[in-house]
Amino acid sequence: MGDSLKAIKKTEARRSLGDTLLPAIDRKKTKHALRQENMKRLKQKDKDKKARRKSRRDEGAPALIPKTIESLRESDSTILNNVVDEDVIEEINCDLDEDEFSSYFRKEYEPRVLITFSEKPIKPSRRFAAQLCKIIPNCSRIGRKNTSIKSIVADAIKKRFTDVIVINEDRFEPNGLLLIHLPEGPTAYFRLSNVQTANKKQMKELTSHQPEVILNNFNTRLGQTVGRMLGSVFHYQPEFKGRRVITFHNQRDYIFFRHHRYKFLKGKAALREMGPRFTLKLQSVQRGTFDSKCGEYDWTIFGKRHEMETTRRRFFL
Amino acid sequence: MSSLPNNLFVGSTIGSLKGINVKRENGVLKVAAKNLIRDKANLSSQHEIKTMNWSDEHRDEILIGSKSSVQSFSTINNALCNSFALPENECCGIFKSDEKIFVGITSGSLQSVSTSKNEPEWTVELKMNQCIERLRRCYVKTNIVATGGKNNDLKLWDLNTKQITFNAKNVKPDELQLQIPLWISDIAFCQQTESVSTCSRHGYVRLYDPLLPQRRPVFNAHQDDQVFTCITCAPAENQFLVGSGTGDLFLVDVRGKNPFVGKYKSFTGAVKEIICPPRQSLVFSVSLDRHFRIHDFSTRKLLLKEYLHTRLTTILPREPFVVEEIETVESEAEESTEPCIMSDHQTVIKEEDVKVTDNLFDKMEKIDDGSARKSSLRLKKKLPETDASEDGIETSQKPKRIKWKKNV
Repeated sequence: MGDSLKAIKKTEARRSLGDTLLPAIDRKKTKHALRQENMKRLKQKDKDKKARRKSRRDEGAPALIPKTIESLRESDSTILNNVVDEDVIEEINCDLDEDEFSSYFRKEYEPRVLITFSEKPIKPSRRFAAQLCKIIPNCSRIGRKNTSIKSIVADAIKKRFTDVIVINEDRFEPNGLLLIHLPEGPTAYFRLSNVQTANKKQMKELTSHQPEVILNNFNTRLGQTVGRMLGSVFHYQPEFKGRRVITFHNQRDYIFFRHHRYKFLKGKAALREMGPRFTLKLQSVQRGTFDSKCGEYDWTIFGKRHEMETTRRRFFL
Repeated sequence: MSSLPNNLFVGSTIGSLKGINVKRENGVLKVAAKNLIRDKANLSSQHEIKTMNWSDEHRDEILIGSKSSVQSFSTINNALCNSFALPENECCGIFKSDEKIFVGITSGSLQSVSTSKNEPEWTVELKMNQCIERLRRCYVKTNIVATGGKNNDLKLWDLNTKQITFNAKNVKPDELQLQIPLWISDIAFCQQTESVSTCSRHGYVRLYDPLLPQRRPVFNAHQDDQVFTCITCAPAENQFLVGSGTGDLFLVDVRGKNPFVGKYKSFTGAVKEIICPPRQSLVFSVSLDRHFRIHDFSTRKLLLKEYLHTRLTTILPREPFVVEEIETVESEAEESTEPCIMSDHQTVIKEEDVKVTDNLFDKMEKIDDGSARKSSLRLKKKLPETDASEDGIETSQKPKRIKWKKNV
């Protein structure tokens, strides 16, 4: 009897609320259930993909180009391959023939390189510079002390150096590389990252042969300038006997440096990395030799990164 | 579109000259560029174009001052007519008067060569004893030229007397009593007056008035960490446009506390020359990043940029500068070919347009909303009391104010 009375009281109380039913409780799914659902979905997606691929293969249709950031690169008028007009191609060729590196590519001089540091170099940058010095033929290395870059450049021109490399450092690791082409410029400043110096075993294998240089993916006119600049540091005539190859590979505006020794096996080539390895990112190209105060820039990203890098699919090299 | 006339000419570091046709199609600016100097003999870094100017009022011959030579280019035949090798150094300013080409030479002299003679004979007109980086002629008094360079302040020379008429004085030394360094990179004369503005590689923009007894600048502005490479007078009064070596274009106003009023964006390389044609609200600029750009002067927005494949150094507009208006959608072909000259920042409103808008307004319905009624009520209030009593409305009575009870 007591139970029935309680039930009646409850119904009365509900009526007094105006017969408004409370919403049903939406129970949260457990994490496990969610994970299961997600797994199912992904499995199904994978299955669909495989089925599609199979049907495509059965039909004999060609494979599609994968959608990567590079394949979806923004169209750029400075990319050299896009130029069709013969008149313009002739002009570009003339421009390339008349630039500061044309005499190197005509094999008129042998490059001589000078490597220096910031004021008091730390051990990692000294070691890095020492290894660079061994890799680059005809290269010498000096401590900078208190001399300015301008006076180093002036001296280097007198002593017939053709390139000056300055390694900058911050927070106990090398972080910048300044490359100055002599005697008339240009000057390029790169941000240097991921420096991994070669170990003892790798250094043992190093020979003094002049290496081959591979410049990859320098597509735009600016990329061409940078590629020519980096290439002209090394001797134009590689000694194939040494089987040394140096690669500057540009990918999404990051230039990767690798140094290998190759060997022809049956059917394919075997590579052995010799180090060091590092990554460069272009910051500026300045006309003339180093002049940070009064120089004119061909291209610079200082202070306008947000203005220039508006999409992930825009590249400058 | 090669048949259309070029209204801009652009020079580059390898000595190529490009003709550019700027036109407005349905309100959108469009550009067509064409190479005018093509033969390989004239394309080299030795022929880097440093300065360009029109030879006379007919505007059919361009004088080109390059690194090693002086050339004249006929815009009628689209071909080079004359070429003279420079006696020394580089050219930094060029103009023509009385069948003579006057060339400013960076080692510090103004030399002339006559075009009528077959063999070029260079005669020294002025000797400056100091290196110069820029030489320009005054628009108002054509016998006056201005020079300036590194450690060489602005000087105005009279060609007739071969004397200095105005010798600028450096601004006061700084708080440590050190001299402010001088390195004039460009000079711009005002179109109507004799006043001269200069910009320096140490980040100074200065305005001089040679008519005043004072030799120091009337206006001096400084921007830290900027290398100014070029300057021009803006279409608005008391304003200049200054380009820098790091790829910035500033609008400088003489009045007010902060002289750097605005900035024009989208440059990635050094700005080499800026041009503001009179009666146009457009800013044309060339830069070392191989782009030719058009900005709107008043809104400062980029209207157009065109990649021209070589480093650009100079720009020269046809005078008077006219942007051709083409409207392809409308069938009225006669009107479309007619060029429309713009007045200061505003298009000229044609009479026909005014008629069309008047008709449009007449056709429109009158909308009667609450605002009209309110105004009529207000009118009634203003009317004398007698009229109001006739209507039976007591207008003199004020609306009752609500009295709030005090909180107890």
